[in-house]
Amino acid sequence: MFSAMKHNDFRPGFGVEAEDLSRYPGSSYNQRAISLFRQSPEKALSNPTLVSSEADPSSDRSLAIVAFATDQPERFISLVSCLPPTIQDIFFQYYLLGRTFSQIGALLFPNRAPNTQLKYVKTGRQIGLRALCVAIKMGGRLRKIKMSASLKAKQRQIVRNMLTTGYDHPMTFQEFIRYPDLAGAYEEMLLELENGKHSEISVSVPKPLGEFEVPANCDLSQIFVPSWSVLGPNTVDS
Amino acid sequence: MLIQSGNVRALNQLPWVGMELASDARTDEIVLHLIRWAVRELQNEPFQILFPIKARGLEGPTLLSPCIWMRVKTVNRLNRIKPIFGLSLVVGPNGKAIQVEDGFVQGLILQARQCRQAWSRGISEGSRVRVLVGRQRMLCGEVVKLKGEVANVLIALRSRNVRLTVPVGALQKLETDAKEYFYKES
Repeated sequence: MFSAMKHNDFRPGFGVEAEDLSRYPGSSYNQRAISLFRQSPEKALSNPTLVSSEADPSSDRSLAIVAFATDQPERFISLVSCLPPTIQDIFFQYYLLGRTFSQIGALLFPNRAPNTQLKYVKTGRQIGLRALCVAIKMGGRLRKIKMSASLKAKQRQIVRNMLTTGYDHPMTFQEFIRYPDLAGAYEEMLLELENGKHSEISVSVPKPLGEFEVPANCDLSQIFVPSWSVLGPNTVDS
Repeated sequence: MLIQSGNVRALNQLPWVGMELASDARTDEIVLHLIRWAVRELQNEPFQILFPIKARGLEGPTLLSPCIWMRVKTVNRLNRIKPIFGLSLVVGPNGKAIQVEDGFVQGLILQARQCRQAWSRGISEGSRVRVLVGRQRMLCGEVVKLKGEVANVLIALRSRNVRLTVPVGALQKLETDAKEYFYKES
């Protein structure tokens, strides 16, 4: 999984430049296609159909972490526990419980607009995935660093450490997240975490939920909610 | 669960039609599509939909009968239900919907009403529970307060706590002492 991350690396002179890909729609698919081509150019060129993660589900790397969480939940929980608390919540709810990004976002960032909630959750998962790869490579020895962290600056330092020490060529946090919006979103997320750290969120569910007879015009979305576990992670991933 | 709209007294004694689930899609999502279709297509006409849930669990609802039941004033209107994915009318050799007498479905309603209590039976203050429906579904927590049919559940996330006020019927009592909110039976 760690090597998979390297293929999608956006560092200058290493891998594909993000700016080149971002010009095209569906650039994440392009990244995957390029990655697949690098793995096996012959296979990619000899196939009668387009080689992509959509055509060949076994090559879809987003399933690797799902398989890891399913097959070794205890190891998964122990490794994820090294990450910042908000990212832990995103991982546990998404990979273990099958909750969707929008459900997670609404719970963790209730005061934000739905689009922002979604952006935070996606960013948290992206950063968390990279950090998790580092944690796997380091054999889960990140716990000590996490225990000493209590401030936002320290948390950023942890992530920076995770990202730098795990790669052969060290890079800074800012180099890693080259996109300003990604860095900004993570910073905002940490602020949100600070604000909500000692607070409690109160949520009420409408009463008809528990009654046997339900009017057809009640808040049905409270009763019937989707889960990605049936459709698969890719359907909500892009 | 009985979902109904309009003046349902006008439907008394009218027959019901069954609708078979024809895919592996989540049952409750199919029912949601059916209700939205009914609200949109039948407009002000009364209708009743019986979603006969026997049990609720991690994997979703288990039904008392293999069909979802529905009745409206004019059965022919249900022929236009075809666009709903994963659902098809139970039809006879002549291609028309088979109509089932009200007595049979009333029996199912009675059973479903009794079953509704089962998955949340025994919940008291201090119980460990899982939220089964709604936007907080799958999360586990502890009942800190119980007032009639409404429970106050404390869910301890890693980053913060969530205090959820929810009807007891939306909760499943966990037999094990699940300490983490993401507890999942193996």
